[in-house]
Amino acid sequence: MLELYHWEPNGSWLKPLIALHEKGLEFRSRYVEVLSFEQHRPDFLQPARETALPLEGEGPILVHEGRQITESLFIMEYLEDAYPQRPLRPAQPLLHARILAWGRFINEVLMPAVSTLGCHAFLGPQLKAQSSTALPARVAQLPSGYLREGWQSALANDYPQDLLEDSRRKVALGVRRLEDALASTPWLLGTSYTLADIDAFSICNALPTLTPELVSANATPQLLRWLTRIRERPAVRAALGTSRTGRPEQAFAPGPEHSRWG
Amino acid sequence: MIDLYTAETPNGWKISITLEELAMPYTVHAVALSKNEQKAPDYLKINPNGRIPTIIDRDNGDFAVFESGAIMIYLAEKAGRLLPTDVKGRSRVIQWLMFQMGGIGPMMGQANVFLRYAPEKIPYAIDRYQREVRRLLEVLNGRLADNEFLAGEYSIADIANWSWVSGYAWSGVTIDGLTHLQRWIETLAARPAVKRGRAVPPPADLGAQDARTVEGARKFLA
Amino acid sequence: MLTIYHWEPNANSGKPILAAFEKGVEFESRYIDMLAFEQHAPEYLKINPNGTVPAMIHDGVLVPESTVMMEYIDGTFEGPRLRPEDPFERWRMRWWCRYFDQVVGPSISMFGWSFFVGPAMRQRDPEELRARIERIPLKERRIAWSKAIYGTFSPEEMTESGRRIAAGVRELEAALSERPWVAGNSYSLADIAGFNMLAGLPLMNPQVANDAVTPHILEWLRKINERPAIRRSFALGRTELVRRYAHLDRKAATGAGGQHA
Repeated sequence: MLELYHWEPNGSWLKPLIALHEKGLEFRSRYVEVLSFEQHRPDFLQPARETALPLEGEGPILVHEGRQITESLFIMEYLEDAYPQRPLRPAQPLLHARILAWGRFINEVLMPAVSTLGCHAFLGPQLKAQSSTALPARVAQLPSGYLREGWQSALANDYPQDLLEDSRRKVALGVRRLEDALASTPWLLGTSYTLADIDAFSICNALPTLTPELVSANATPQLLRWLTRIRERPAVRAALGTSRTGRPEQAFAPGPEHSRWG
Repeated sequence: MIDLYTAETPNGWKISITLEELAMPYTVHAVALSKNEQKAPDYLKINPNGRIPTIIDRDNGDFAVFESGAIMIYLAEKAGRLLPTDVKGRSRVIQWLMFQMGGIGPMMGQANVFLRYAPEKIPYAIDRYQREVRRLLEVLNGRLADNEFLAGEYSIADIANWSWVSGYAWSGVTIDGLTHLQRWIETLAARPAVKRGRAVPPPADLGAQDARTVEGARKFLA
Repeated sequence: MLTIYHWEPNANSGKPILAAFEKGVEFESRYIDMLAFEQHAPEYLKINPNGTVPAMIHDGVLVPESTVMMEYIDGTFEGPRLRPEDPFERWRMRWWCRYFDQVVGPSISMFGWSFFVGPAMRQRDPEELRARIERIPLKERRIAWSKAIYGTFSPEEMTESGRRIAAGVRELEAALSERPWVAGNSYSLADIAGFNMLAGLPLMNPQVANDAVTPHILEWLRKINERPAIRRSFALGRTELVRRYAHLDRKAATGAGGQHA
């Protein structure tokens, strides 16, 4: 039985939720209270080497036949490899390469930026409202340096201005690239909905709320049209329906780090 | 996504080549003709004729299309390429597509049967179909004397005819003297998308794909 | 027709080159001298507007990103399988490729650029250097090149890179002590990526990677170094760089304690 450990249906957690529903796969949903740091409790899951080294920050974990699979796009690739029904990935290597190339951009440029802005807008205030005295100590024990810093910034609600500006610049760049790609075709790879759309949608779904000045019917009509169409899909509705807060677009936790090369 | 149910035959290649030319995302379900998978009840639901190819368009309410010529028209219209939209241009392409569907395909198919597969060699039948195939190839050659492609620009008419005609030797027919046809065969053979589509489904993987194909079709239709 | 534009056959450039040779694919090799900024010349930018190296063109279509190129090569051409059949091992291959790309590779590059590229570049005319940097299309790359050339990586950044290299080495040593190849039981793109990133490490940072501390990594590097595809890759290099891999030749390891300078 497939098990998916996930928080609210936003960002990286949303991706495998959508993929599982699109493929009609049965799975056990394990909701994780990320704000309570449940995912870092020592007894959370059997320790696994790769899982202990997060590459996309706080993200979902798929458990299948006792093995843990992480990194949201790679979880979706795993599902395509293991379950050929209702494929979301085309056979052509060139189109697969385009999915991976979009994936690099989404994960290395867009996700870190959206995550920073989202944590600044929502996680900081949420943690403050929660005022958990135990959290700082537990954060300090996180093995991953950049994850630790991400949580510490949120706890202190301290985000350098140039980081926020850089994040906004990256979101604007990502939004422009998507808007241009969707100007001539309904989906990122052309006439078909694929993993590339799920990957990008999961990160962009919150943008009309988070960065309304960048994403709106006026500024980005194609992007809005595409977001709306994806939201109408039964599988996406089912995935978004797993929200317990009713406001998944406000659920942010530290994501992948910004590229260290500038 | 387009789900393509196919096998290593000219009618199958027509679709895989078209999909490659259109750069349209698709997945391949190799149907094992030797095991009669195309007559399985689940497959007959999407293709009542029990032949390959068949496609299912996942981006259009799981719409199933059978008959290779119909599939090619469907895909070309979906992509807006390889089939003109103006009345005459479109008609020309469909005329030469019908030429393949009604003539080249059945006649070469029968020539192959009587030359290669029939349990006894019937000279009258072999001769009848080989002559007709040669006659049809001469028609194509005549058309290609004044035209780079069969119907104006490169189109599904070329793909449909090439997928069969490139295998003329299997039908026991020569193209001696048909220089324009020869040129056109080589031109298409050199196209990267034609090369890629012609290699679908990959022969080596057929065994491993069998179980997955049947399972996949069943799960889809369950 | 497959064309690969590359620099020296290591790091990111080495990945598609080695993958192509392992797959048995013939390709046209086009050397781009990054020290001469050939990647920002107009002719190259026409082929790859981002000005990044390596780049790959197949049948007229650009395939971006060195890791993506490797997957493309394995999926497109006939030849030995370079991605595991088992979905879990395949996932693990992708995970390690990302780990190398995101965490380890950039850290090693930071050292490489500080100690080799920067000094080489600073011997050039300063005005010309500045003008060339301004021509770089991507802002991130302009910043990176400036840092590399003018040596402006901060001590904190260098320390963090050192820490990540050490951590990556520890993780890889532990993984290779449990299985023969990075992803599992078969040689894969993860080994190709790892070798290209780490082959120079025992020479550059011998205290971090050596037979005593990281015996599995050293053995893994030597195993890969013996593969015929590696010889073919090295032949595409033009500098002394690849001859430094002589430290991985087995005869170099003979002698007291198997250590080498």
